[in-house]
Amino acid sequence: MFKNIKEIFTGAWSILVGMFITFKWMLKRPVTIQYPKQPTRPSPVHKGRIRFVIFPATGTHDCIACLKCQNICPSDCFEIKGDKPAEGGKKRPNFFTYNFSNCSLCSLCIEACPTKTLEHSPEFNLASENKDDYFYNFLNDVEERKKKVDATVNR
Amino acid sequence: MINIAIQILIWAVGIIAVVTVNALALVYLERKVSAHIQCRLGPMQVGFHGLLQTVADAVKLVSKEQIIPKNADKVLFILAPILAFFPVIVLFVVMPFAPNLICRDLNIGVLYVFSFASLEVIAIFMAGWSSNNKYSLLGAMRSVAQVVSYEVPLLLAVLAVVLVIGSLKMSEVVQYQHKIWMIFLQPAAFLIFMMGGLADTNRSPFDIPEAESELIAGFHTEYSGMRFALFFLSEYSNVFLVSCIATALFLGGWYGPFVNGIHWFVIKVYALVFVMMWVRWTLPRLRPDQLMNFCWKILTPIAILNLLVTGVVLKLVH
Amino acid sequence: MYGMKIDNHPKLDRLLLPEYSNFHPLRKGFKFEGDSVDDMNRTWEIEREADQKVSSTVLEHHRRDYFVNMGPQHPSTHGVLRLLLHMDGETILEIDPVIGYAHRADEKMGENGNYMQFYPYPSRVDYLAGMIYNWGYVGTVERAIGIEITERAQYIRVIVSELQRLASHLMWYGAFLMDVGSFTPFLYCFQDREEILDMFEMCDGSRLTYNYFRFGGQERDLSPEMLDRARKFIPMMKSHLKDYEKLVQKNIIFRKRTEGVGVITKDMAIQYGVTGASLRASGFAYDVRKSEPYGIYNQFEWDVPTATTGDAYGRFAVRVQEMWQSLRILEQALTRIPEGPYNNPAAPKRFKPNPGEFYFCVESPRGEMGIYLISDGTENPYRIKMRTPCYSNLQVIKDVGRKNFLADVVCILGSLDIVVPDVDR
Repeated sequence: MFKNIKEIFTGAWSILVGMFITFKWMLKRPVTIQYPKQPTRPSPVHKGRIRFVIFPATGTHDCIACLKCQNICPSDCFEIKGDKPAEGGKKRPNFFTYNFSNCSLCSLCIEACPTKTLEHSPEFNLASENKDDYFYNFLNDVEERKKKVDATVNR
Repeated sequence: MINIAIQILIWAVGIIAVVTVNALALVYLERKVSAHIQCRLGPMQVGFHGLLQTVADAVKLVSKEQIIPKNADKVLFILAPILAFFPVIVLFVVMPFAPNLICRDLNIGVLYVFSFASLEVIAIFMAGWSSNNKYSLLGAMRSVAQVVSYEVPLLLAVLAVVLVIGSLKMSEVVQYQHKIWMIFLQPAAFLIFMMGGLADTNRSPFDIPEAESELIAGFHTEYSGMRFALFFLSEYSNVFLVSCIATALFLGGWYGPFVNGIHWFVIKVYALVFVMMWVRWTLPRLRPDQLMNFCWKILTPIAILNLLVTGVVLKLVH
Repeated sequence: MYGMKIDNHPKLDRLLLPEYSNFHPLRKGFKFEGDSVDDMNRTWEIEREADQKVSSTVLEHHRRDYFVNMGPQHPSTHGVLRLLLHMDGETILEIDPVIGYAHRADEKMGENGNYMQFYPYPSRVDYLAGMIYNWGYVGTVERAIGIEITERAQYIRVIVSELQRLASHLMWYGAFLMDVGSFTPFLYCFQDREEILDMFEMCDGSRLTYNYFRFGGQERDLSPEMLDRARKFIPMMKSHLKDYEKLVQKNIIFRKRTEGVGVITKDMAIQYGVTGASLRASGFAYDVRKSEPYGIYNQFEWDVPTATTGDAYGRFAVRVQEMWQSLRILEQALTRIPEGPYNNPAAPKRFKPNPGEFYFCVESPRGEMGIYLISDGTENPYRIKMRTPCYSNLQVIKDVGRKNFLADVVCILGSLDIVVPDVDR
């Protein structure tokens, strides 16, 4: 009997302590942000989709269509065709697509690349309603990005 | 004759408008309180600091398709939310907001309040039964057990108050407290009343009928659209009503420092509502059997003891 | 999956495939074409008919007891677990966990690729403990090819593993409290977990499914900023844990809900192969980090917390203590982390391990996680078997949940800390 009455009082006290803690936390600053209005920045090593590096020296990528990324990829994201140009020199890709919806962002392709011409892009809001948006043609992608860079340089 | 008709119409429209707007305001308040307790911001997009968010939600719910499950009992299924909302409107009739702001100051105001408040349980059971869903039925079952049991200590607590005041009329109950609030005379009754009220309105920590992690949404699992909105509105209006009754019975109604009037009533009611929300976002949920134990083994004996002591003291004083 | 027949088994069913199917996809030489496709479709139909028959018989008899399908879409089954509850009123007569809704054939995927290509998959098996599962796989292959790990990499591994353990326990803490009915601690825990995930984003780039471990080292070094952040995180976490203790652990309602609920006795735990905090709460101090130290765990000072009760509250208390121990290990590791290379440049890119069988286990937040690897001397593993803790931990609910209330089953399930992809693989 006495034990039960004691339990009622300790229980009531524990509830009051809990209420005090939630009140204390209520006065803290909210940690959430209004995301689309307030921009966020991912970390510098953020793993976005894979893309070509544009080397400033040559102004383009350095892919030699060695198919190493295609072979190492655990989920068959890449489809690459390439041949040697007629004037000789290195092999260049003429078809290079990447399926982001299969990609598990393991960055094995980046480590396998002998010319270091693959990287993760810093983009993070890649959601889309259309499945086709996740097929990236890297050669077109490079051209577009070059245009963008040119536009900012010229302006 | 026409005057009376117009008066009734104005009261009816006024009450329904107040109930709806107030429930929307309470939903907004609950979201904001829960958000800030959890270090979030809550609704921010629609209107200034999301003030119109609940209005937008209400519009969305009204415009949604009304789904009735295939094997549901259609008549009961449609009636249940209406029946759930009905006592809420009826109860506002006797709420003593201010000296001149009582729709009907009945002689048996307190009795009227508790008799209509217990209608709620029928609506809940109808909803649970007619949905033809095991989770709904379990929720309804729990709800009936809970509400019926918790009405006992609740009424015993109120009985002690009525014993002190000697009247069931709402305005007299409030007027009695113009020198000293009832909470100082009957602190135990106030605590029991608040716990019973929490249980009657199915709010945490007594929210087992709609225990989200066990029964998904309890008795209104199958409801959607406007019918769901009616349950939602009635739940929040019930919270408001419990606070109103507690204010009138224990916290001195419209009396307060400086100027007496409706503002004191509203301030006290919203303070109580805030406490109820604060409790909800702090505590875990009880188990059904523990809930019953708590009611019959702790609350009811204390309430009876309280009633006994009140009677003895009154006899000695007079 | 293999078609093994076990003598005297009380209920020998197909685990993941339809009950009447007679093909075994994990056997070598199985091809999903022709007969097996028809077989698959046919068996689904048989299954559906049988299900309908069962439901109609229950309707005919108007019995007092009834069946409830809890899941796969239920708020408290933590994903797509399905519990078939046989109930009488609110009391559970029988529980039957039905698994397989999140089966992705991770083990088969391991056989199909080479050793490098299985890198990203372990962290997807238990998405709450990605780093530790990475270590499990990497450790197995390192044992198979006998490669040396640099000292800084060892420290990095301990740091990220303990952070991951904290993150996982925080997630469990919040989810368990939500099962018990309190929503606020869930978001408090998420704030702290967010901090850890931010740190992981700084070191690995991903927030949930990592691929940070490489044979012989790490993918990249821990940046000084990340280490600073981790150092600042420890005191914050400690003060928060104290607050949570007052808010949750001492709360009378929480204690009433968890004390004496779902008692797993020591014998039962050992019989079912329960590991992790659930085993330690039954009074058996088994922690892979102590009993079979991997990495450099034997260089740190820390204890294995245990409880004697074996109930949900005991499991809770043990996990909370584990969080304190993780902070202790982290403190030591962060002060002692040496400079040096973060990976072993001598690690081979393509290799053929010697034929043989290798086992390496790590202590995941949920228990002993081991990978059993059979190599036949080629570039691809012959067989990868994952011993995932949740699979064994879930089985115990069949014994423990019986004769309890519905609300207790939710509580027990929460306290066992089940991650469904970890069960199904």
